[in-house]
Amino acid sequence: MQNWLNREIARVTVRETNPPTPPAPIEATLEKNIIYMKEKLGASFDILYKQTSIGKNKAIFIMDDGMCDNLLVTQQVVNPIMTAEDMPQDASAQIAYIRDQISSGIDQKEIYNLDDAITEVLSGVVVLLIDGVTVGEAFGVQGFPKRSVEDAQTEVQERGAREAFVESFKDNVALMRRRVRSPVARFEVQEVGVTSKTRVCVCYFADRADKNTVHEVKDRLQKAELDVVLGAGYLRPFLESDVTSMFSSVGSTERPDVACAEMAEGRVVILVDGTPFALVVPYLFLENFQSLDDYNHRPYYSGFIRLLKFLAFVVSIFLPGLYVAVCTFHQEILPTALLYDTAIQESITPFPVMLEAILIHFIYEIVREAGLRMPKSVGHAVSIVGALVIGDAAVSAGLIAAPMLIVVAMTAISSFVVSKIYYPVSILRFAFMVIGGVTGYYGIVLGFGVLLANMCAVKSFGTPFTAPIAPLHLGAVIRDFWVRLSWKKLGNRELKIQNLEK
Amino acid sequence: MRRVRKILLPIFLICILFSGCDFSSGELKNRLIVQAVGIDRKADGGVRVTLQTLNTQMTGNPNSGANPGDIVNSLSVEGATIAEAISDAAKIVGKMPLLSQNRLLVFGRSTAEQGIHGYLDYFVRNVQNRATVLVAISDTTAEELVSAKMGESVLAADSMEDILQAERFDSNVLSRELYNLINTLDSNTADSVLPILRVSGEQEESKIQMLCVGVFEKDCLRYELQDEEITALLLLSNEARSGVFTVQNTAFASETVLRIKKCHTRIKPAVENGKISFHIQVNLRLDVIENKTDTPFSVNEAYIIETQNQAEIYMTERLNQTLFKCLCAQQSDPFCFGMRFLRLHPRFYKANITDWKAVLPSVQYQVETKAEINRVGNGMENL
Amino acid sequence: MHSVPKISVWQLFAVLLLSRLLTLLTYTTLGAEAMQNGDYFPSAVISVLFILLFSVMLFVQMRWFPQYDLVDIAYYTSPIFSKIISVLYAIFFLFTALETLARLELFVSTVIFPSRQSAFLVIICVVAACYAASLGVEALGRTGAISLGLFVAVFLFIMLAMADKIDFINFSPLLYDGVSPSLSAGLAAATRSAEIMMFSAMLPQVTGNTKKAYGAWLVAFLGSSLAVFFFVFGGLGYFALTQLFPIHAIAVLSELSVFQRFDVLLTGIWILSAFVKISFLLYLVSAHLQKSFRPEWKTRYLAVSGILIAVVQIFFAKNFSDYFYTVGLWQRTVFFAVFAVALPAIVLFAARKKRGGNQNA
Repeated sequence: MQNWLNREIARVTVRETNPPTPPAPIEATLEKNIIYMKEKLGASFDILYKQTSIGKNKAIFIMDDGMCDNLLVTQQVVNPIMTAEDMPQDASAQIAYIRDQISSGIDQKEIYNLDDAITEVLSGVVVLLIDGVTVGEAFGVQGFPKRSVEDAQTEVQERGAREAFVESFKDNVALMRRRVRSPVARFEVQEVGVTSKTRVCVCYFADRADKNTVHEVKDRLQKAELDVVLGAGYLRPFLESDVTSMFSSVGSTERPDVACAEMAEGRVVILVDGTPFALVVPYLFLENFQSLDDYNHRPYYSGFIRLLKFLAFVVSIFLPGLYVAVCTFHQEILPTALLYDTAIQESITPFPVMLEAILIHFIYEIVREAGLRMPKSVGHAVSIVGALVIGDAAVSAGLIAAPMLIVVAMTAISSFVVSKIYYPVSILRFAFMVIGGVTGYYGIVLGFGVLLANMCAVKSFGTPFTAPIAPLHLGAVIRDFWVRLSWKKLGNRELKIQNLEK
Repeated sequence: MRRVRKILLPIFLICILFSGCDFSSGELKNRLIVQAVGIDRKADGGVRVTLQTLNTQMTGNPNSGANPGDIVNSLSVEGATIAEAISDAAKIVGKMPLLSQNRLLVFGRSTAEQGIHGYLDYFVRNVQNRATVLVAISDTTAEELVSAKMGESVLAADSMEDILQAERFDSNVLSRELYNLINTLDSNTADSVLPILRVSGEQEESKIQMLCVGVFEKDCLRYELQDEEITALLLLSNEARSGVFTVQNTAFASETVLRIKKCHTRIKPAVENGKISFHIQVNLRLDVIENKTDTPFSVNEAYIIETQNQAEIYMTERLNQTLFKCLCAQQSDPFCFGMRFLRLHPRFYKANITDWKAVLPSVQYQVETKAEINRVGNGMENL
Repeated sequence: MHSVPKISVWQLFAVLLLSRLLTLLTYTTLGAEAMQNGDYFPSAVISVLFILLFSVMLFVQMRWFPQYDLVDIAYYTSPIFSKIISVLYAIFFLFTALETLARLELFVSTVIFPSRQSAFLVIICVVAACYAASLGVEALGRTGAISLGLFVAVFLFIMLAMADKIDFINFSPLLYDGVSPSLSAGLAAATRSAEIMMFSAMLPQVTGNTKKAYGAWLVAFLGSSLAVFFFVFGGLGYFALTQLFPIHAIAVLSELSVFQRFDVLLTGIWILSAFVKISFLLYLVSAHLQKSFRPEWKTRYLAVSGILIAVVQIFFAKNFSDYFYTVGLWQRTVFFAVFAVALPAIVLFAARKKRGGNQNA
């Protein structure tokens, strides 16, 4: 059966893969270069070929119209070259003159093969090829449309900065550079995606990031077998632990200040061009309960908030399952008054408690998803329908019990407190509901044990996922676990993540 | 390794799905919630069990304003054993009994006089039943107490539980939990005590009150202790927490009512000249709560001293009377003196005593009461 | 050559303490000799002394071959002897896992699900334990450490909740019937579990001061036993001994305001501890077989072990659990001594003699 499944998958995904070819060098004959470029780029209307002459030599400017800033092209590239007074006649000398003498104030580099020329053109760079020269010149005149820096949407902080990453990774790097103006901050670019050739930037602090971790990150990104990379999420599985887990061992953030804080702890941040989220490795489970606001507030308050988040996490996973287990098998746990009220309410419902719980949670997820996808103008209607109609009317009609509705509401609110792990929590909640309804408290505890063992098996680039609790690092726990020390005591250097390995 | 995990998960799921469990059989809506259990022995040796249950079967939706009806019901069943009787109850109602909310276990008087040990096994063995359930004796039958009505409604077990838990502030009330009862029932060095409750008043004005405390010999009810004797019992067992008593104070007020704010009893068993003796020191911290007088007087130092003296005399007298009644007259040890003596003088006990009850009349005891008036309330001059 | 996964000695301490505390929690009067509750306190001290006595060969192993387990040491003598030792200890750990599973099944089917079939409860426990064992010793070590933290927290909470029920009158005099009952109970407690053998098997896979950790484990076991007995018998008195699981009975008694039945917390940590212990034992079974047979069959060893204990527990439980609960103290002691003292002595002295002979040659 496994083989049959594999064949079915292969049938729809296998495509002819061309063996990798060596890069085509730039020919001395301009015509040959033009033919090669047109062959590779096809008849895309946005690729412009501007043929001209520089002195007596034929030349061509190749650019992608939508990706370049036309004003920059004219003022910084074409004009200075065409109006240069001392331009030599020899083609090689012309390239050298353009490289050395024409100060265009923009990024310039030489290219030696046509495949690089194609990549540069598609990245918004103007490429100049001159007949008789096997070197080309590329001018960085990118002017593609991009979003300006806006407020963070998913990581809202009370006291922190409001800036969030954007799609352009160069802008993202600038946002981070502004915060850490130190030469130890390194931003190294590589490409992933056979077709998309998406640029990713590996960011770290050279004086504290573990070199093996940096090397391994780059290696894994390089080995990622992907055709197109349109988001950071595509790269996540390649950076995660070998052990499959509900909780991701790769963090993400949309805030440059958080990214810098992570780098300061010796972690590696990965920016993906086209994604306003950065990936962070190594990542620990307890970081899901931390936010930058914890470091802006007083320690006692941040400790309180972290505890609240952890309790909310526990409630959001276990409360529905426990309620189902108690009502089905372990009624003796409830105090009499609560038992009586619950029994009265449950007696009028037609469904078994487990089915009731699964149904109402499923409906809640439908309403939530609808609210997320619908246009904002009709979002209010969704909340009205969800809250009033489904909630109140269902209880009045006797379809579900009022305590169940309270459980759902508490669970829903709690799950939003720790939004970073909302998705695994949603799935686990259903799992524990089924477990609680079938095997009761015994199964819930076993399920918790299995989940705990699974989390303990996960390692994020050598650092155990459950650090600093297991393995226990008392210094780290005292420093910044539930309650963090005051900034006076946290010192002028951060905890290094690699110190938490075993 | 991943293959194994892929195999394990389906096995896990199949086990769950094919476990053959009926999802709804044990649910809350299918359980008969028992609040109180009454046991009466029948003439033929069988047992009559009265269950006080909570009515969770609604005829309408309470969220839509339907009347919930009677909250508490009672049901009497008979059987050769308690287990059989309770399973008959399940057949009648069609629901599995849930004993975890049982607050009270009541035995009828005649049942208590014939022995209760044999009826406790079911409650000790049943996993649902709490070991902290209160045990009491009914002045008549357990059925009468458990199914007592006020008007049309059955008097809930909560009210009976509340009466017994008044022990916290009333020294004339005693309560016993099941595990405490078991400890003393099976002991050779102590006798069990249980509160005796009765239903008084006409149907519309029925109420349950504590009548007295029954003292057992082995597991049979033997004699009773009344109001002040109950206070003495609690003091001598070091279980008293609060209470009220009245002393005659002729020099100042005709009667002074005192509240026990704090009390501590130190019992020191000793062996003197081969005889067992107990030195009992009771320390009382009291508040004056009421004075009855014909002539006004000032609440002064002399008054305090006189009141303290009278309180000491009063309490010592009561303690001595109760000790005489129990130890000498009845040859009974509801104060757990034997357990204390055994703990501190195990070798003497092992060498010289085969039957603690036989030794009791020869046990010597000296009672010393120290009373201290802590507060006299808000009035400095008595009206 | 692949690196051996290692855990810190304190993680091992956590797993072994959890294992021992589970044995303490699951103490049942079924098959036990009747004795006064006051005799349990000296029996706890005596059990620690017996454990120390049985640990002599472990100390010898720590001294002579600090980084090796018995299978590795037996290899000095001969490869076949090493295989025999690995199979014997695999069977021993399998038996201990079976005994733990039996005890858990008895508890669950008596207290939690008295009216349900226990077969599927056994199966899901075994499946979960096999999965956890497949994750490796590092995961088990960390899981054990966290579980121990939860255990201690719940334990303290329950003790705090029922502290007001302690009455010194409930304690019977110490050694009222002489020292013999305490001696028997101490020996029974010492031979009821397998931590000595587990420690010995884990020596190559721990980093840190093993002697310190072992000493800490003994002290923690003694302290927790005394604390448990104090609260159980101080709160319940004679009543505790009428219950199948006395320690569970005390948790039932705990109350705090309107909240009752804190035994649900105790039940939770009980099940969690049993899960960790069974997983760890299955891991040891697999690890021992891997050492002497095909290492790539790790998953098969786990699967076969899991199936074996599940089948025995489901189909032969009546006979097997009777055998374990009611077998005589001396038979159990001999069985324990063989694996704790006799076999290690043979392996260690044979290996040392061989090593000494090689050095002379």
